[in-house]
Amino acid sequence: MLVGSASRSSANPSSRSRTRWVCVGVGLALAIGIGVPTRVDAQTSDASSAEEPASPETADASDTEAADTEAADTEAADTEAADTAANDIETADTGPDSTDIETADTGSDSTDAEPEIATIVAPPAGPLTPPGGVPEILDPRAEERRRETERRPPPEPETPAEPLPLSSMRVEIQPRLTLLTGSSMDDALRAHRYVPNGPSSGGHVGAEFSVVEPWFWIGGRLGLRGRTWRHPDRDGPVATAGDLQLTVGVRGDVDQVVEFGAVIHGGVGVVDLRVNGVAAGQLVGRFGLEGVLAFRVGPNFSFGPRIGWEYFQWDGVNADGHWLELGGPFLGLSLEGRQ
Amino acid sequence: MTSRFARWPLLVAAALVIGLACQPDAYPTRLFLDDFETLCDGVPCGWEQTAGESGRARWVETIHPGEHALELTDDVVVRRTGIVPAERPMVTTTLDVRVAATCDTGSTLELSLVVADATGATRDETLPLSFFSGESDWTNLSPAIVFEMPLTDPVVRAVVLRKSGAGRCRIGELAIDDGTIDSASCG
Repeated sequence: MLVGSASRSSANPSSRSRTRWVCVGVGLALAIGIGVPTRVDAQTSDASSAEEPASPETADASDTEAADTEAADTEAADTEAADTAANDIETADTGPDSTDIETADTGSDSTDAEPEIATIVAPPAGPLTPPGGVPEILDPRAEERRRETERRPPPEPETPAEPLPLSSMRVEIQPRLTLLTGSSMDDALRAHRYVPNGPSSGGHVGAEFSVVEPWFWIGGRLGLRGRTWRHPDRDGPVATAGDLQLTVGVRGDVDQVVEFGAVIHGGVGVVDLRVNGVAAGQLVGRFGLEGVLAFRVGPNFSFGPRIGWEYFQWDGVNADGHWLELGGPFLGLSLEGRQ
Repeated sequence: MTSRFARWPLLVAAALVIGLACQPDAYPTRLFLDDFETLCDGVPCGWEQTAGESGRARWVETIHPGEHALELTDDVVVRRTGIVPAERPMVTTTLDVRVAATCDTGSTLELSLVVADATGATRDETLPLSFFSGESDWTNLSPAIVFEMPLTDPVVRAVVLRKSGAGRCRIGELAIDDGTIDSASCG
């Protein structure tokens, strides 16, 4: 259009011919000026799409959008080219010489090549683009999906359950009840109308250390035991005992929570029996076997029942050869702290 | 609205309260008790040897340094007097005796009681005690003395122990009760 207008404004044939060349040159310059930034824009668009970790849907939408834009541009370019060709023909009709025809052909050829360039492009800025650039045609659904993705908080990465750290030291407190199976001293006390008050109660505190293997433990315990009797006419006897023992144990994990194991313990104990306010004591040996079931309630704590049997007897309490029982089958509850 | 199932705990609680309140007194009146834990002149306090070779009756330690007994060897008789009478009034025909003792094989032991009642009458009852000879271990016997006539406010005046045969007997505790159970204390 601009070329045609410029052609019609010329009055001299030679100057008209010169004017046509000028117009063709300007047209080519415009075409080249339009085409170069378009390619750059296309490259920039490709680069940005490559940088974005967009979903395939977004990429497809962008491609579609680009294709639509390209198609629209192609239509516009075709229309413009047709107009230019018509003007050229019209201009050619005004001039009878063959040069004009050639020139017209040349113009026609040059305008045939232009749609290829114009179809690629939508210049963001330039003399032919509106201020603010050409608006992009976006798929509304894709835009909605993009906004939805932006609104959605990023999913928290799933942290796999970390295995509990291996312990190398445990401290334990364990109250326990020992079921007494009777002894000759109990019979003698019963003959004096001393009646035992239930099972023996006691407990111990201890520490164990993992050595050589994670499942192998050794340690020590400091324990206390006690049992009492009653009498209908006076205070009954009281037996107390303290012991110091070494422990050797094994411990295994069933899963993250449950543990099982066994402990063998042995050492020495001091038994004191007080009757009618008079105390008598003895150093005795002792040992036992203990089954372990523990439930871990955290990285540093566990608890669980203990069941077992322990030997804790005072042989030769008196000249009659009576022996006193402080051991037997027991049931305990252990609370453990570990590191 | 209270359902009928909600009332049963109250009924059970009431029954328990009534039942406990009506429990009879399980403790009979104690007429005599000696645990032989005090020493006086080589023998338990209150006891004297009345027959047999001197020194055949003595105070000894038994099952524990805090537990003592009267030991009788060979043929010997000992007597306990000066017994404080019980202050609780009673009427009974039976006296229960509890003895914690042990005797060697071949030994026999007899217990005699001199009992007076409120009428001033004095009764003398002898009770042979037998033990599981041979095991030489402590036994608690609970024989009973039954009187033909009821005793009113009985008082134990004397306790006599007669040991015969070889070997020894040790008596660690001796208690005498009235043998009756008091009436239920339901108001």
